[in-house]
Amino acid sequence: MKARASILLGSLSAALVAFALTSPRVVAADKVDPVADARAFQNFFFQKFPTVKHEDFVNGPYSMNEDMKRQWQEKEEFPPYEFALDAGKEMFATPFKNGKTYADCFPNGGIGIRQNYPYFDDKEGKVVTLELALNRCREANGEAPYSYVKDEMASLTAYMAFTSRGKPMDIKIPDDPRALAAFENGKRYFYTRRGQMNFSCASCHVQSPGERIRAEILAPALGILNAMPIYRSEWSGMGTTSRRFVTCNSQTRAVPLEPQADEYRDVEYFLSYVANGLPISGPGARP
Amino acid sequence: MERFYFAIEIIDITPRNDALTAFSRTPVLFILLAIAAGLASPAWAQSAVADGQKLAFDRGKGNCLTCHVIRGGDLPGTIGPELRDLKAKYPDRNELAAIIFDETKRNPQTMMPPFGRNRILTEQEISAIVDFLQTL
Ligand code: HEC
Ligand code: HEC
Repeated sequence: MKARASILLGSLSAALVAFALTSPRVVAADKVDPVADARAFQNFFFQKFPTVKHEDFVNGPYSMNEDMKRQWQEKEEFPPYEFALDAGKEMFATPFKNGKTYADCFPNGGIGIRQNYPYFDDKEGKVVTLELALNRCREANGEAPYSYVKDEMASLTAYMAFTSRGKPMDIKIPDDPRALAAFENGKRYFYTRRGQMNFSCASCHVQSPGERIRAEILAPALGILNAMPIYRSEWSGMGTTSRRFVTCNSQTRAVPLEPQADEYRDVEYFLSYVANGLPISGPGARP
Repeated sequence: MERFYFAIEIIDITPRNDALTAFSRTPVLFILLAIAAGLASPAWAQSAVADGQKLAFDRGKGNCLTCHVIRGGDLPGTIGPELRDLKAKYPDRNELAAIIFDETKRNPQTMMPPFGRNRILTEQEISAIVDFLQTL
């Protein structure tokens, strides 16, 4: 009974936050306020999980469960993403056929910059994620793009995350109506229920983090991208942010979008911005 | 097995408004089914309970274990309350059927999928699950 009451209470307050975040502002109807949204979002999780250290939220399900955390810390001594990290490092250093490298495409040679992705590109008028920027780099240098979901893309992003570990997420939303619209659109996608099961992303990652869905412990939405890409035993390998979005949609019988579809880019922008200040922890390992 | 909770097939988004078409005949059907269940012989009822349990545990159907602890089921989730003593709590079987049909009616924020409204389960299937729930 007690457990039930707290579940209900939890979802009630989640509902309030969800409502506060999604309902059109009654007073200033067209005012998008990412700063206020991020504060409310972070406070919701800090209050719901007062014993979780703020920087721990970036460890997904491990932040929610002590037993799992212990197992994970033991695993980190021989991390299962190591092979991807090594491969990524080597790929990063290997020149393209034209002699250029990935380093030529990124600020600071691509080292220690993960926390700045995704960013809003004012020429294109859209959000650019790290995965997208990597494939654009390849194409600009005459190379074929990689699959967005695993293997090479996961290795490259694993390496770039690793060189940025510990740096606080630092996403900018320029004072540009298109950037604000992208943020708002990502937020809307995140809170909209869809598919036969009628779940939103928030149903699982805002309303129920820490709960078990079957045998899996749900990660909190706060800092949920800081550990990407991740190794998952179920995947017997690495998966990118794109892979996780597609998987979460299709497993709940919602129609997944194409990797790097505009809406996924916007969701990534929203989730990353509201995690500003929390450290990059990728690449991650999951059971 | 990342496939723990729901079946992997991808089904098109069901239009929200199908509640309108589904609802008009629902009460009548539920009453008929309730009467049928009431008049049925114990053997018949027994098999409805067994069917209901199968449907409730089947990952491609009710998959209720994703969220609820249920006696006899493995690897339950913790999102919803344990399902037990339901006959005492909901003496009227129509209440249970309504919760399974569309719990968002009682609680718009619920995570519980609207199994009837979104045609995940038919009315007969829901009725069999109610029979099973009443034994818990
Ligand atoms: C019905 C439940 C459900 C829904 C709806 C859902 N997810 Fe997930 N999500 C999971 C499960 C289960 C996992 C794996 C365990 C975990 O890490 O949370 C997961 C993992 C993730 C992860 C990786 C977290 C980590 O640290 O391992 C991300 C990112 C994510 N989901 C984003 C989303 C987004 C974006 C949406 C909406 C498009 C969404 N999820 C919808 C259940 C869900
Ligand atoms: C994704 C999660 C989820 C799934 C799947 C799910 N439920 Fe629920 N269920 C809940 C939650 C959460 C509640 C708590 C009430 C609420 O949210 O309104 C609940 C409440 C209930 C209740 C009321 C319990 C009480 O003590 O008042 C019944 C009965 C019930 N569910 C039956 C089922 C059955 C039968 C199935 C499968 C056909 C099922 N549920 C599948 C999440 C779920």
